[in-house]
Amino acid sequence: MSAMSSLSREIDTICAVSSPSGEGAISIIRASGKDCLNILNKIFRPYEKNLSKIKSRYFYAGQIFDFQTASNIDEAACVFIKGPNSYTGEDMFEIYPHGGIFNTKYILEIILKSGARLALNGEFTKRAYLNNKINLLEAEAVLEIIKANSLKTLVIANNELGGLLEKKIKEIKESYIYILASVEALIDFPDEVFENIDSDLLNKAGEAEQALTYLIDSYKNYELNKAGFSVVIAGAPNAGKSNILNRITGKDRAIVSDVPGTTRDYIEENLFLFNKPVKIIDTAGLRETMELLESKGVERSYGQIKNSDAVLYILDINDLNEDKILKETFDMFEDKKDNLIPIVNKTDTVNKKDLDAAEEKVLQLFEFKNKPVFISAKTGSGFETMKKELYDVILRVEGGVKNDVGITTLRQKNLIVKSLELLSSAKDKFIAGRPLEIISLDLREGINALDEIVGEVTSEDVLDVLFKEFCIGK
Amino acid sequence: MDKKYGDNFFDVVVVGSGHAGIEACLASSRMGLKTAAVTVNLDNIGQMSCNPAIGGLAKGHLVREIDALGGEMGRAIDKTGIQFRTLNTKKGPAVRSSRAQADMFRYKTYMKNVLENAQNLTLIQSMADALIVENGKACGVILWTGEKLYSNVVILTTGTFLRGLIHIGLFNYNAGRAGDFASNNLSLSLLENGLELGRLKTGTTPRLDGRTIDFSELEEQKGEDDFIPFSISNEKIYNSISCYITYTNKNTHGVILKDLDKSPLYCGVIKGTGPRYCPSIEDKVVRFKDKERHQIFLERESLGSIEYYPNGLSTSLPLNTQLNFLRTIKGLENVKIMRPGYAIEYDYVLPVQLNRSLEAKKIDNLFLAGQINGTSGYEEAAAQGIMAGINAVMKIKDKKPLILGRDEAYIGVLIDDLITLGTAEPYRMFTSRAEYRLLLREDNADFRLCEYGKNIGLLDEERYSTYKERLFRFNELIAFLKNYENGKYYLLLKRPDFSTENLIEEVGNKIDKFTRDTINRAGLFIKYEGYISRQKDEIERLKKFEDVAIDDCADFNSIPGLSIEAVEKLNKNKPRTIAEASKISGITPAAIGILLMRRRK
Ligand SMILES: Nc1nc2c(ncn2[C@@H]2O[C@H](COP(=O)(O)OP(=O)(O)OP(=O)(O)O)[C@@H](O)[C@H]2O)c(=O)[nH]1
Ligand SMILES: [Mg+2]
Repeated sequence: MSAMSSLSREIDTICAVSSPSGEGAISIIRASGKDCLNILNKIFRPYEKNLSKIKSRYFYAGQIFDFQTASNIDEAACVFIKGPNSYTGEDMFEIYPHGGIFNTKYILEIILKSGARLALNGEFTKRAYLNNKINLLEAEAVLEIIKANSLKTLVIANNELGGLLEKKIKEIKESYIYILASVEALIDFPDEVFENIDSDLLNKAGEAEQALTYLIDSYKNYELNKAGFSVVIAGAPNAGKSNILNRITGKDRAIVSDVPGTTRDYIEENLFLFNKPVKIIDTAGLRETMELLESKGVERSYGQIKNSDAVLYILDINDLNEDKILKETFDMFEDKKDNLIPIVNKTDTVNKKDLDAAEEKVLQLFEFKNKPVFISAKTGSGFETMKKELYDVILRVEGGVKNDVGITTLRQKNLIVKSLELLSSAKDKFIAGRPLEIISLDLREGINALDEIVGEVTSEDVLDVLFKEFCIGK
Repeated sequence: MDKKYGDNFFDVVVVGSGHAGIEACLASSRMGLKTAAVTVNLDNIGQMSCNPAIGGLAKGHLVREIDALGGEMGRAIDKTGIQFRTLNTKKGPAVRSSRAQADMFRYKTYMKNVLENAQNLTLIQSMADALIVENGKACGVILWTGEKLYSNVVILTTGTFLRGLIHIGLFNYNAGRAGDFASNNLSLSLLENGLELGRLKTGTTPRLDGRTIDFSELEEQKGEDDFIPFSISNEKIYNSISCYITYTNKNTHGVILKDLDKSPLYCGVIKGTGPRYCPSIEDKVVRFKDKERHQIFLERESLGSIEYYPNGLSTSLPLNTQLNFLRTIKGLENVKIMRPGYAIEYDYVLPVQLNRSLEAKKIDNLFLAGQINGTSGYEEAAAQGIMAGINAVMKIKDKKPLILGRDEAYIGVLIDDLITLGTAEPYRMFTSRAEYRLLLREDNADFRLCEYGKNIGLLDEERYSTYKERLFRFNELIAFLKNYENGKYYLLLKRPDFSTENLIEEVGNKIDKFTRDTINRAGLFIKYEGYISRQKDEIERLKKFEDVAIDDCADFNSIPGLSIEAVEKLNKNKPRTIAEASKISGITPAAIGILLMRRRK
């Protein structure tokens, strides 16, 4: 069955972002298939010409039109290439919007909603081959990619996942097949008595739904993760947070002053910490305040702490008292306590003896999981240690993520969402007593969607489970 | 000698007169060819060696399809059935199936009569010992008495007879079924001609003396009088008996487990693979330990006999044990066994060696049908029989074979599965094997296949005109519903909560000229139209690849990118088209993509 769906793919219109991911000056979105012109009609408004007069292989500037909100959303250039004289041999278009990640993705979504489907890896090339546009040698390179189009791509994307996702999806598929086998048993063996088959079936469906939902959520996390590791610089006002941000980024980004409460809203900067992209956020100093604007800032600081992956908690070496605010930060950071690094700043203002005393005091007063790092934002001393500590935390957090199974591409997510919808629909229909053969149809399509990720289920597989699980035979 | 005019020459020789042989010899003789049916026992034409019943899930579909092509099985069971039921009435209209219990003696008599009255058909009691093959072409059989029968085409439908070996406990003997000789030499002849054989096993239940069964406490199951007859040509059926339901219990299971060491299955005497869907009672008890009881249907075999068939109790345990466990069952406390249950092992020809027309790939003009191809069930056998008969005629007349698609008939699914996938256990039809099951319903078998039956010259005028009339009525009703009150009821019928009963309640007087059957068909058609068109789209898309041939001498090993598993499967099955390849289990969409690319070299 899934073979069928793969064959049917040859006819539909496919679409993908073909510029490298990340921000650039422009992005490229490419589509191929018979609906190209229709889709362009829906989403592109050229400045000069009427779209019906659009010529093959000419550049047109215009607006991308979002038919959902009936508004223009981006300015872009566009080329339409009439088949068979195109790369794939089919009608094609390319759109060159501004190179933001968000707008590119959004435009892709609009194109998908206009009737295209997300292309599989290598699919443009595959079509080019099928339409005799490229030779075997060229195509063989693509073969490798097609082979990888299911799970392997993913393993590459997330290369250390070690097949965890495959295992997870196979587990879901097993539940799915069990449910399907139950339905088929009810259909094909009407005279048999199956005890508890209804409740078992619904339980399994519940489990599978949960697992699918978990995977869908994992995509959100993955997206967030892709945005980079976020580190919040927090602490009391005047502890030197802004100064630290400036030094660590090497930019004069935040205002530094000796007035406590200088930073009112958070400031974000991106940098590479060794080889890792990190988003570093300077926040308003944490204290109780009556001043409206500042209290808003403090609130936002807490928000940032909550969403961050790690916190550099800055203490002024001259002001090491029991810190109520720090307690609150701790509570807020409960699940990630390991990722809070205490930083004692302004070491340049004390002598060696006081420094030693301060070290003792910090250890006595606070129960940090991580060793405090002593720095001076003024001289830069201790910064290398601080960076190394932070890097260790990043590695540890990522190491933790590795055991989390997650999906990593929009294609996978779409398939899993589809699968979940079909499963839920099948379940609802089962509860409502709708015909079993219709329910079976939903389940089979739902399994097909998963098949596209990990490989297919045959009707023999279903029969295998059926005979294993259900006592049949008169 | 000019063979063509001798008494020993036929256009078609059909070996075997079981359910496959009957349809095969009737098809070829009705299509006008001189046909011989060779059977080892003329008294056992159409014998029901196992369950005395026809139909059941997906099998009912097959019977109606056979009927729509012009076959005999449906007419026979309508006339000789003693209890008729529709299965799955509550579960979904597309998977409703008909089942009837046969009066097995009347069924046999009926079939023998039909064969005796068939034009162009000669009946011969004998055993075929060997094939005559000249230049890779089958041209007759050698009988065990040494005589030869010559023919243009040979159809083998020998069922479980090839080296049949019956087991009752640790005792075993050679037989085609209880009471008939096995065919030991024919296997050898097939091997000599290069066919690969496998070994399967199946079993049957003991037969009980009805006078010794106490029915008073048992649950009764009645037939349905409004049952729609299997055959287009019949208008009514008659229910004359009920079935009774009882259950095994812990004691039954205890007796069975205690004597497992005397089971030929469990001490390794039986080598053949048995069917998973029809396990012996000892299998069920061992494999499903938690199940406290198993359901048993007590079915009478004939109005002219008191023998009962305890459906669900297939066994090859020793006779003693059979009796002991039977007597632990409610209603059977004092039962007597008239015939013991047994298992039978037999040779079958690996069906991947056949073409879609059921002709052997290696031996021209040799067709195989029925259990010899690894199937089980009378209906599966008859379905192949009629196709083999038809295609033997097509071959002789030099016409294109009749090949039914998976989207046209369960018969198509059956043959396609057999020849592309083969089978390692006795193959039984299930609705779940048909990917287009919303389309392949019992109620539209005639709409799907009668034109084929007519075109090839097998379907008689009587059945054809009945079908035409029904089709006309059906279209008339659909048109009415589309127009009446702007198609209000047409739309309503699409909703799950609006049934044909509701329709009759609301507009009954407008449609009272239509039969209930027509109304049901139309209702079903409308309800499923959306789903069916979804499936039809898929069929259309796939058709694109049906004719995409794969190079005959393609060496799959040399194609880069294919997994080892895929190469193995492709080499084994030798698919001829992309569509065939896509149906092989374990062949992934990626592999299909690779094959497609390869083809465009
Ligand atoms: N001597 C010395 N002074 C420092 C050091 N770090 C910061 N300062 C001074 O401390 C004062 C506060 O620095 P900021 O960076 O503005 O402090 P902040 O934590 O961002 O303060 P708020 O934004 O008000 O919460 C400034 O006058 C800095 O010059 C340091 O390492 N040594
Ligand atoms: Mg600041």
